[in-house]
Amino acid sequence: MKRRCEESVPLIGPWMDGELPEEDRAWLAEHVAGCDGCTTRKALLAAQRDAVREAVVRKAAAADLSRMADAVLARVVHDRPPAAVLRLRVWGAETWRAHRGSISAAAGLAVAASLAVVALLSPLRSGPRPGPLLADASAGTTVEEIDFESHEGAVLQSGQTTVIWVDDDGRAVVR
Amino acid sequence: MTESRKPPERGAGPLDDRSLVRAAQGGDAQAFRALVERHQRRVYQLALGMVRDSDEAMDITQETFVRVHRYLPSFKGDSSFFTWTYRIATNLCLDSARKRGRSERVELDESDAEIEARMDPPSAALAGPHRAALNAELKGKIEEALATLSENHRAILLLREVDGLSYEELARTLGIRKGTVMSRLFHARLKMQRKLREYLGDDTKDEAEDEE
Repeated sequence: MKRRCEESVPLIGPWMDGELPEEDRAWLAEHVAGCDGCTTRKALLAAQRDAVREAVVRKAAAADLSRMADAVLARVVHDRPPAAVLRLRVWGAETWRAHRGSISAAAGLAVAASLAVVALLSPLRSGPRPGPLLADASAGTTVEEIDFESHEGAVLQSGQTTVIWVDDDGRAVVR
Repeated sequence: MTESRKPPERGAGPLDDRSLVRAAQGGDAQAFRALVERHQRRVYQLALGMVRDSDEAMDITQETFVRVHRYLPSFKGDSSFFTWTYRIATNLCLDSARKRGRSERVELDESDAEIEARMDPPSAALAGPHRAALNAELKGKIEEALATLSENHRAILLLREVDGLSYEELARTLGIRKGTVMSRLFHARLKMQRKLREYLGDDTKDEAEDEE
């Protein structure tokens, strides 16, 4: 009996509150029905609950709360932002709560893209840029013949300037 | 009658808490007023039970609804409106008690001796023909016994015994786990019982022993 009382004592309250799991209800009811001590504990808990409720409710019932709402509204009337702002705030909070993951991901991507653009266009970026493939015709060289071999090519001349153009697959041989 | 003991939103109807909250969030002052009038008595009961001073309880009730109004735009409806409101009220009560230095008592785990004492069965007379007289005597001692509890124990006892909050609602209101609710409520009731038995003396115990 002692062992069963130790088990049942903490559960009598939850049982009376309707919060005891299904699997414990049957054995606890059986134990309490056959145990004078636990029957009394249960009765005392019920009496205590009723007494607490009655005492507090009775005392509170005497209070005049008829002007409570007016007093509260008088205090909050100046705090109230416009309805549109309120709705926007609620909408924003709810949107954030519902789509927090997506919003975070999109913001992260936007930041990454911005950083990439800045890096590509930065004036601090230095180094040689690849230019067109040109045959190296130094000053003073006289071009007599160009063998383009299997490549496409052309010679453009204007005054003292000669430009030899060849496609990207190879170099022209200047003789 | 604008006040009720049971949470009004549990019933269907155009004026349930959910509808009123939405309207109040949109700036409808009358909807907010309806919410205040619906819940003010229960909030006041809780505050009065906690602080045991009617003026202070009135101030806490008013401040509770001012804060409800302030934070209403952020209320998402994850919990019921009254649970949310009770959480604000409970925190205000606990803050008030702390400011007044009434919560210095630290809740300790019970020693083995206390657990053993818990196993002492109360007098059988409590459940017998003397119960009616005992109830009358209990009522007179309830406030005294409540005053000896820690703030946390008093809060959970009032929320459960007076307002009938479920364990889930208690957990949300007090910001604790459901397992802690069971433990805290058990210890609160136990301390209350012991205190009441002290006040009532050993008469009932003696009678019970005589009967046995």
